[in-house]
Amino acid sequence: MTEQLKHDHKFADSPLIEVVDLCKSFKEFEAIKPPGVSLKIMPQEVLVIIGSSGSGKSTLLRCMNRLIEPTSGQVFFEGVEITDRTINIDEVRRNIGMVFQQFNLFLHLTVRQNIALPLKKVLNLSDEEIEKRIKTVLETVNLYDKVDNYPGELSGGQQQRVAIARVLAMRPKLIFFDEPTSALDPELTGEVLQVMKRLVSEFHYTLVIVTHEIPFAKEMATRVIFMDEGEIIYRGTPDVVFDKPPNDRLKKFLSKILEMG
Amino acid sequence: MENNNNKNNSKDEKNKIKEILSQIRLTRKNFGWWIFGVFVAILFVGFVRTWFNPEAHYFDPILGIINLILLPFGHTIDSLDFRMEDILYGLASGAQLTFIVSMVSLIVGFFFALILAVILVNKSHLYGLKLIAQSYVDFFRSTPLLVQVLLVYYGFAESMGDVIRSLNIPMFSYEVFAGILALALNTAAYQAEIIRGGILAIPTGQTEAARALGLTSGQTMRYVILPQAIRIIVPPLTNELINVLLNSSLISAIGVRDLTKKSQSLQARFSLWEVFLISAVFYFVIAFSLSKITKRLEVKLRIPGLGVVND
Repeated sequence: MTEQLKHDHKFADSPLIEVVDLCKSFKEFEAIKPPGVSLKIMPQEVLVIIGSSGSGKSTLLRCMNRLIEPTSGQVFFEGVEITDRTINIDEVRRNIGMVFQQFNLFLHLTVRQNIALPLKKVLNLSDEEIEKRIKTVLETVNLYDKVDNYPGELSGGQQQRVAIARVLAMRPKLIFFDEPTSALDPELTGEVLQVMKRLVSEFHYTLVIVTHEIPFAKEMATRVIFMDEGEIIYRGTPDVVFDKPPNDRLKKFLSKILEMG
Repeated sequence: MENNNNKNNSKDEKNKIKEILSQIRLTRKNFGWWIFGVFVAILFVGFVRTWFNPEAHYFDPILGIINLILLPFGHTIDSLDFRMEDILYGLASGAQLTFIVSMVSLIVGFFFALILAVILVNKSHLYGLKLIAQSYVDFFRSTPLLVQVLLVYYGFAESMGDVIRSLNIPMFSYEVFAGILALALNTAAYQAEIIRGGILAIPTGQTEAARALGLTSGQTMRYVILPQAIRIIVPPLTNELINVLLNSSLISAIGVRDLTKKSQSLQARFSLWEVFLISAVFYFVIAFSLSKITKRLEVKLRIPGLGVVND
């Protein structure tokens, strides 16, 4: 791909991420079945992926930043193929934030150090700039008073907000959320979802969210993908998916989830 | 605003000093630490004296204090038993060598073990490096230390013996060199397994998060995994520390004049089995002190808000 084309991609209404025929199998188990998954993620889109556990949602997410190496297929980030083994994936990853189910804050570092570490070691920013960013992002998630606390001293909801702040400080072009509220009780879920809503409404971030929070998905999503047993079963807008699901498996899944909620 | 900050800072500092002072005040709780501290201080004075006075022995002040205690009863250690002074001085110089040899081996072994462990936890084969590291660990854990000591001593004698002797460093004979090398090679294998265990105990989520933020695998190991693993490995590493100290008695077999060798020769000289009892006390004092210090380290390294407090 020529330099010129790459440039065009940035200006045109071109996808941030494009996935082509992506498959992944772990030894015997086919997490994402052939012929594979294809999708495009456009700028400022909020893409919600739903599906029961083991359906391949998290695998798909991790394949898109190569935390898991896909078995076959391609992933393009801003038109550059990142499944190519010769590219420097670390440079790509700094543009793709990821928030995990288990928060995964660095437990031996304070909140400040957690946010500062990648800024210093990956982006090589000055101490001044780092301190400025820490303040901004922690104020965004309303946690600046906890800047010198260790993750172990925070509640689950606070930890997840710090994790989001840590990602925001990198100023990524899009953020993946891998079941960000599944490890939280309903009370704490609210505060995390609130922060995510702010990311969309105020900062117009591009988000890819794997979640079981149906009301939240309904409100925030611009597009919904339903996965089951390693393939995409249905894709559509939230009002169609949630209000009048046209697919039997989707209907079954939704009724099961709403029953539990 | 800035003024306020300064005020807070000086307040914090005052509190910190207060806290430290309250910690070192002599109470029933830290009584043992005081005894230990005074003991170390006396030893230190002894060592400082040896720098200025080559005739002096680091054990002089301790012997002086023993004499001070005995004096009110009308005795000195020499008057109790004329052999005692010789034995204590002999064992003390042996203890010094034992301590130095085991500490050097332990530290050299640790850095070697760190490299081995990082190789061993790697997912890829690293062009056969992993196989070599694994074989190394297997070999040194599955053969007796005494055999390893003899192997190194005789194996390197031709190539290294004369070189080391020609260096003429005090206390560092070829025997000592071979002893340190054998102990370091041996402990590296055990420590590598300890460190590997510590690394594997860190949840994979930590690696995932670090890599997702754009850190390289080396940076992830250096800044995320190892700092957390080090906290897990301190207790088993203490075990290994004591093992090395006590196992170092085996290097007496190649003629290093360590604590064990000294006890043997003193026993032969005076035909006195009690020499070994005193030598055991020497070993005990060193090993016990070291375990106390690492316990302190364990507490220091604790991460706030994590784990069970067990003092």
